[in-house]
Amino acid sequence: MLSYILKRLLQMIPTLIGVSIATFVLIHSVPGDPARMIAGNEASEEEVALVRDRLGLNEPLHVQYGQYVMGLAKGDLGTSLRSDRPVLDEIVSRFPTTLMLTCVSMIVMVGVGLLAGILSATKPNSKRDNATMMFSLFGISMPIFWLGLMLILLFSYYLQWLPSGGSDGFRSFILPALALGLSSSAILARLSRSSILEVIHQDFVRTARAKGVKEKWVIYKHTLKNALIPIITIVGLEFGHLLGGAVLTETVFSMNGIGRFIIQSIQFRDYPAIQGSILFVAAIFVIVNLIVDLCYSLVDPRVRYE
Amino acid sequence: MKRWLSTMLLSLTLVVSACGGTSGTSGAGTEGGAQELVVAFSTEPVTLDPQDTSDGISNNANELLFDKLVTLDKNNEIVPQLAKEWSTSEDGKKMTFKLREDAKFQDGTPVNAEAVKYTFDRVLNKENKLARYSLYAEFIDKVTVDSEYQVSFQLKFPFGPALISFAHTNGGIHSPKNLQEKGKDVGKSPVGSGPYKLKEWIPGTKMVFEANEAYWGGAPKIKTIVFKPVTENSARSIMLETGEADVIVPVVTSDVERLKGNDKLKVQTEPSSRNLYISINTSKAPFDNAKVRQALNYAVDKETIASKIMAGQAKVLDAAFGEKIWGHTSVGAYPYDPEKAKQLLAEAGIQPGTTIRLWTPEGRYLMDRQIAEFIQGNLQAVGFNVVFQKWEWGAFQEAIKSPNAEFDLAVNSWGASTNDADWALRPILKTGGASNYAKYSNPKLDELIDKGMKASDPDERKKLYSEALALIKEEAPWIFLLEYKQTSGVRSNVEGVYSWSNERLILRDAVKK
Repeated sequence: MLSYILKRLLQMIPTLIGVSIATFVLIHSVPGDPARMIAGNEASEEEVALVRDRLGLNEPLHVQYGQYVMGLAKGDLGTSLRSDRPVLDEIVSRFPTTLMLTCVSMIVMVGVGLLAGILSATKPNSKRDNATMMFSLFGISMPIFWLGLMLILLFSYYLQWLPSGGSDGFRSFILPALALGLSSSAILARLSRSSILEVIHQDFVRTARAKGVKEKWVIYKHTLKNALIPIITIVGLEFGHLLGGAVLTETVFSMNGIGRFIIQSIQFRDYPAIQGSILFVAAIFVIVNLIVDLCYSLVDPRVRYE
Repeated sequence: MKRWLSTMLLSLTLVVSACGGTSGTSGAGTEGGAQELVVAFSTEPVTLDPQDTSDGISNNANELLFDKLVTLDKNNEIVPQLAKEWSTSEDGKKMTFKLREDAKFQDGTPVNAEAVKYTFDRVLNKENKLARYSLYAEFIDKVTVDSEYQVSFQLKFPFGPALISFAHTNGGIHSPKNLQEKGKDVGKSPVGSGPYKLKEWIPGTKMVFEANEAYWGGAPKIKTIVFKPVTENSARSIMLETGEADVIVPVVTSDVERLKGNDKLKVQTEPSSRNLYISINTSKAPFDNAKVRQALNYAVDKETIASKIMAGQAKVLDAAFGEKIWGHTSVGAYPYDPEKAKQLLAEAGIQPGTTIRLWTPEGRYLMDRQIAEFIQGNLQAVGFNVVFQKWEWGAFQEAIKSPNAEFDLAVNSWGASTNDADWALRPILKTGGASNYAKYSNPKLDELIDKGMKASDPDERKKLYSEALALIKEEAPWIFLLEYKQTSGVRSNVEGVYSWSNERLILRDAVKK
């Protein structure tokens, strides 16, 4: 088990090198000049040249990449061109917001999604099933930013229960987590429904019922546990999706997380900030995938890692 | 199962309502009461070093922290600030400022001639690579300390807009002690002599200013001012409506009517020196022909753009720059006359169906894309085949500056930050100007712009600029469109918030009841 984890962690390195090269090439091939963005629209060519020189953007690309990788090896993600602060500091100060948002959204997603899936699967093709699946179709189809704006309209504007944005205190996380979590819960609901339905018709479930086991235990102990593997997979994948969704949600709700930071950095062509935060998010995603893989063996004793 | 579901729903309702309970109906932003003013902008300041600042929101912050030699009043007139009085030598090449003697920096050091010299020497030194180097290096030769409270500037040539350049936010005077201590980091922990000091800056979340009780002009009324970045336009409007923000800038055009209907807040519309125009690529046929360029101007219905698309938050431009800029003379807009446009195009030998490429940034200027789309229709109506392309701002800036840029028409805007005719024309219409996207070159106009810059007699300058504006209209290197207005949203209990026409939001005189 330990050697498996170690192997997986080592495998992260080429993945992250790949991500760093891909981001570097991609953002440098996007048109736009950070020096011009920073110097402002009114700046003369001379001023833009001064800024470009100060930011070290006159070096050839391979030299810039070399410097970047050298820095990475030392744990230095570089300095933001826009704010002149270390990128790592910028990320570390914003990550708690994104992590909190993602975790609360996960709770919403699993709570609502799994419950809806169970409700549907235990009475397939009933009115209850149709209603739940209609709700989940609605959830999948709604763009996150629209749902976010509707929630703001209802809970902040009309009812004035919750703040419309910001990231101070737990209250400001409720609406964005609902917006983000509800759309993912819809996917989870549909998946867990089909997964449970598949298991519920198997022989051991029928045996359990024949033995007179209570329906509640049939569902939770026998069916759900066996249907969990695909559910865990989708929960893991959705974690990445939620991190991505945080980009939009944080913008709509003016939250100071990594997502909004990435958007802002892209707008300003803040190369080190974009590279650093994407690498960071990629690393998180890889680690979450590893955790998901390890969870399989917890749920299903047949899965063993050597 | 049903019981489980209802328990879940019940607890969700409880959580949500419990969270609501603490704030009641008052929204979330009123904890600070009359002592705190929350201002929501579309983004956050970048740096608080006035000489390295090129964006409007940083400049709004710098106006709280720093004083300059001279400043503007509510009516955009130049008034004394750190300088009590000033004079210009006969030949116009030397300016002398007498400083007030009671001003102190927030670190307790005195504001004197040394501090002024130290601040300007720093920006004039090219080695420091500050973003506003050329704003001052262009005309200042050297700075001399005449006495403790008197400082002189030797100019390279008599420079008409010199005084207004000192009134620019970029002319904020630093505490030399702080500059020496902080070095490169001065933009994060600035010390000026303004009415507010920087208390806290949490990047991406908020910037907090607290009142400088020892301010020479008297302690400010509001104790704390908080800047918050709120990117989403509609979120800013909602924050104003719920009271989470006291002031929002800008107000998106589509929300203006709704906000006006709310008696707890007011929508302030003030004139702006920002214009909107379409650069015509004069380096390419057939647009090297003034007749074709005039035809384009006749073809566009500017009145409808101002009244409908901009919902009255703009007026039709009656010269190359707006009336709030010093040196403006109305030379009249081209009337909307598609028939005349067709006739001029026929005379110039333009065939119907000629392809014309129109570029616009999206989301950079109020309603930019929507206006460009409307103009696309106008131009198609007079027989052009318009190929429309919208751009993300960063990409647009690079594409349009490329020497081989393939546009015929491009939506541009210019807000002359000095409020003076020189800066309103020189960078955008003089041959080789840094932002001359029309690639327009006319020796006669160059000469007028040059003379205007170097003349020190205001009457003479005004005459030169009125001649220049008439020439620009005739030559039509642009499709002249709008003079924007600036719109800010303010809660009704807040007074004393206003904007200069160069888009600077002034908060130092604000009062909250």
